[in-house]
Amino acid sequence: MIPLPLIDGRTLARVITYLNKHTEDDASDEAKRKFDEEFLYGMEVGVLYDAALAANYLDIGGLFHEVCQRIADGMMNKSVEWVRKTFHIESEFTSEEEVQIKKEYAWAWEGVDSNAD
Amino acid sequence: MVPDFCGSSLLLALPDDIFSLITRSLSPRDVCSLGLSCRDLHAIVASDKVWLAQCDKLRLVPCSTLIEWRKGVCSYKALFRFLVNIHPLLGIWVHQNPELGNVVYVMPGFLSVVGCRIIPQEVGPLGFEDGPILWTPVFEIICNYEGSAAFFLHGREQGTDFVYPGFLKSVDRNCNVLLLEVEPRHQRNGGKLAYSKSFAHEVDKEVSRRLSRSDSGISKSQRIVGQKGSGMPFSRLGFGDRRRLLDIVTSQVRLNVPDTANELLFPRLRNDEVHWQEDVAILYERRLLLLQMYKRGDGNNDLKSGSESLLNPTELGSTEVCKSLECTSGYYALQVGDGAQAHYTKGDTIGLSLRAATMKLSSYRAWPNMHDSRFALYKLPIRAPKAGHEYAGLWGGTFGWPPGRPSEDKPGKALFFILISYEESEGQQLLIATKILEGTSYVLHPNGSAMFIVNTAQPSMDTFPWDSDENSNHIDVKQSFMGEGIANGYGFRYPGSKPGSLFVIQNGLLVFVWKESRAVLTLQRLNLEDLLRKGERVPSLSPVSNFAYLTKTYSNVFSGFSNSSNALSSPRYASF
Repeated sequence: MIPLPLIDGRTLARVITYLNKHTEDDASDEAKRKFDEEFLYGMEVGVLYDAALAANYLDIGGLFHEVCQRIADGMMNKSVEWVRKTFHIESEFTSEEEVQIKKEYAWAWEGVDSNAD
Repeated sequence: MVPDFCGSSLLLALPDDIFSLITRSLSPRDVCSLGLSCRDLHAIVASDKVWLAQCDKLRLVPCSTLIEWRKGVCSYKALFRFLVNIHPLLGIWVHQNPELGNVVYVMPGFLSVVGCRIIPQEVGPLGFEDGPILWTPVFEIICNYEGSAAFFLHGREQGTDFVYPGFLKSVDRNCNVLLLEVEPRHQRNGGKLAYSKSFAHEVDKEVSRRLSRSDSGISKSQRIVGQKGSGMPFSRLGFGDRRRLLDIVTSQVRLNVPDTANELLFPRLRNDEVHWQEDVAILYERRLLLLQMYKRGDGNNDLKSGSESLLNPTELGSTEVCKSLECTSGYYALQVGDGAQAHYTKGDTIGLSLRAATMKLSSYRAWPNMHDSRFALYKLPIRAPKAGHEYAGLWGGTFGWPPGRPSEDKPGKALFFILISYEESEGQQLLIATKILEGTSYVLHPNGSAMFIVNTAQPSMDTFPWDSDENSNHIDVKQSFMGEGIANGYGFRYPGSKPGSLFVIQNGLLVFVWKESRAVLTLQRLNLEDLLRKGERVPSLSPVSNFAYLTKTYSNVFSGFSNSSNALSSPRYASF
């Protein structure tokens, strides 16, 4: 069971900023979108994750989906090496395990080049 | 975006709901990349929630169906692997023969995909929506517990239904040709999907073996174990050899299907929960039975390993060839003799295989130009309706006005399947209505002809000839287009055309009227999957013909079952 972390002050402040913008009467959809882009663009990774948890905890649908998408965008089309480097992960797999796991996932890379007759 | 301290703990700290929501946006490859990076990530990436989200994203079946299917597989990841592999097979596949139409619709079944042929027929007594539509199974690909595919061809021989197990060789993402072949199969787990490169690359050299009758004394241990992938690919053999190989293999691998397992291939479209659960229970049983049969390789013949048994000697090439057959896991070793064009190393096992390939095919007005000697089906690209192409897709139609269900005093109406597509030509946008199925008893125009073509920028000057329909409702013409409808031309192969107009009327109906003859073709949208789920299954042809009917014919070859218990001598077949 992974407990939800309590929301710290910094994250809460950001969530409030988001909510303020999105509940403004005179803010157009265009303006809101622009705000979202700038708001999320500059966020550090750690803050993004906190924001996701906070938005989920507070049940703020819009912010939650935006942040999740942003996190996902950052991971798209990245190689295994990139993941390890970016997340500072040491792979503790033994070489046999590595071979085994690569085989397990090999299908995901199949079909990249189509077979012409 | 440089993280500072936490490493993967950021991802790992997320609740799995949130993690699967994030990964839902990722491609399966990216998800697997995460899983490959370290142990902890590997563990959370393996979660069922992650892969349920990925399955759902494919939009092949509703989420409730995924949840039901999960009971038959080890994980959503396994199910995803199956779904992503067979995904390109879904859709409409056609063949030129018989000319009345040969439409095989591949759709989700039950932890499977099923290829259903809709046969040329008249509109059923319950009308368009409830027909019931007549169909016959062509093939089936079942997902086993680990997510691998088990391929079965369907067919009927000597009045009995059989299934013919084989393997799913490969499915190209952009496939447009579905080929039935006989291929050597290496000793590996039954049904495991492999994405193999073209045969020629695997072959070191072509090996030919000459066997004379004196070889019949060779014991199993003396046989040379076959090297991987030697031999000529099936597609390079002559037509006669391919036909004979298919006939030999199907006759050897066929499995008798008990009646209980022969009823349903997919759940019927019903409104109540109770009946649906009954169907599901039957389908689970059937699937288990078929998968067991697949694994065991049971057949009509006893396993005769090592001993020789003269099989119906068949000619392959120019000389008598088949000396002995050896069964290994459902696949049969074929030892070929002198002069044969098919070369298989001794000890190889061969079996039926299904391969979905991508070929460069030309097409004319949305109808692909097909080879006439391949045991193949060809994919029809179906476009979904969108802005500017509102009428794209599959329609069902009948001739005559008013449209409506046939009754006692009115003769049956031939059912037409029309595929509407759009084409740019000389700066104009044309709407093309391609005939892909015709329910008359004798065809007038070739399969794949354009029944009518209209110019979407030219409204018609003609008025709709009738004021009211069969229910005396007033006809409200929303739009009309000018164009041409098919007419007799220079012989069968080259139809002509005569002026006509397409009217869009209320209830989403399209009506094309030939100006001079006042012939009327009325079209309405079809949901083929729903129709098949409410439909009526009829007997198949013999297996190879059931897959690809190569003989040129202008009549209804599927109508020859007048003596069966289904009372198919009904006029719906429009047989003579």
